[in-house]
Amino acid sequence: MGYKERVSCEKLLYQQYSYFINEGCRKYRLSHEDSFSAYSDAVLSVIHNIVNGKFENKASLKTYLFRVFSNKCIDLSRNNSINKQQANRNATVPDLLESLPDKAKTAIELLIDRYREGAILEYLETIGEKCKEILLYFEDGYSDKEIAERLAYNNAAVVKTTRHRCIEKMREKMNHLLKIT
Amino acid sequence: MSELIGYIEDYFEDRLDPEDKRLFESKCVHDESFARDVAFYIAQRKAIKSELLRQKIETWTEGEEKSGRRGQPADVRRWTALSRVITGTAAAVLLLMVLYFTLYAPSPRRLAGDYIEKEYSRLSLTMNGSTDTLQLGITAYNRKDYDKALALFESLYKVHPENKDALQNAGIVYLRTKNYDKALEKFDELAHTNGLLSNPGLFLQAVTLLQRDAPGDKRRAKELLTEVVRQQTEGATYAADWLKRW
Repeated sequence: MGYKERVSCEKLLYQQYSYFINEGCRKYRLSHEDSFSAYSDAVLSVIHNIVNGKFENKASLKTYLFRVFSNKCIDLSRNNSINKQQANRNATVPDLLESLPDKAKTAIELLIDRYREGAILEYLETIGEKCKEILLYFEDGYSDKEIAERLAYNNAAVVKTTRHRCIEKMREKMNHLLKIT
Repeated sequence: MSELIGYIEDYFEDRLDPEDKRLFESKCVHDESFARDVAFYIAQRKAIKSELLRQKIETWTEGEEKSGRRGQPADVRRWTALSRVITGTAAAVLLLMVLYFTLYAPSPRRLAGDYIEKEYSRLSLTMNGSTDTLQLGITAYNRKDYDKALALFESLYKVHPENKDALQNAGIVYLRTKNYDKALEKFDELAHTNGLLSNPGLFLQAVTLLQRDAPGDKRRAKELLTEVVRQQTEGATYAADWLKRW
């Protein structure tokens, strides 16, 4: 599927079931904004699971999306009730932390708070449009090969190296900031 | 550093063999510098995902009415607005019904009053060869000359106790003139009369009790109306209706 087709399919999927947002408000007593956020996040997760071959077609797409959406609503609702001030409103997080075993997860969790999302996004704007584009494509589930084709790089290896350098640039800037503070 | 990022990425993309994975996890716990690199890698992935979602939302909601809420297609928004109107209207109608039934619903007393007004504001002249006195009494009643009407009905009934029309009409005059005790006497006598094709005695007693509205009258009237329905005597249709609205 081409890029344009994918974008229009994503939009179609998003619009098709956007009435789930009202369900989120009604069933999980979320605000419209929270339910909207959970729904958008659910759509993105479903798209990525389809792209990565994790959607096994055992249930209909609608059922699958609603299940993912419900889980996100529950998480959001739980976060809201635990601590409204500190609730993690970034429902979009791909929780890589969950991939780690408990001990390693705890160790990383202690350090991760230093890297504020706002600061990272600021640096993302300073590392160049190409870098930003590559990182966003990768996060959107495109392989290095697909990115190479789309952005006219020689091959996937070049994209991979460039991508890692982009992350490195941000890391250096962030380190600099952390040393200052 | 690029190799390090590649190594971290390989772990999360599940490209390391089990031994390397264990080593990676151990370094997260025991090597703080390495743990910081992993923490940064995860944090930047989170941040980029967040930015990606923001951009996606912009694309997905493109063209939606600015006045509407994001995430609701126009038809859903229209339906939501319509459903609000319907819900509001239904609530208003329900409220009006509740108010009507609590404040303005006709009480049994009012139903009885309406019945008297409707059925006995005028009496029909009988065409069955009844006595002149009875006809004169009815004429007087229809002219609202209740004293004369009562005198005529009473005197007729005294002379002809078999004339139950005179007895009933006398009771009706007492009812119209709010002499409820006397009306009850007449209707009670009427109710105890056997051999009539149609006997409204019980029903008229209930009507009179509802109008008098003394303590216990309402309860007694209900008993009488129930009896009227059970026996299917004259007034049974009204009685059933009033009991339903009780």
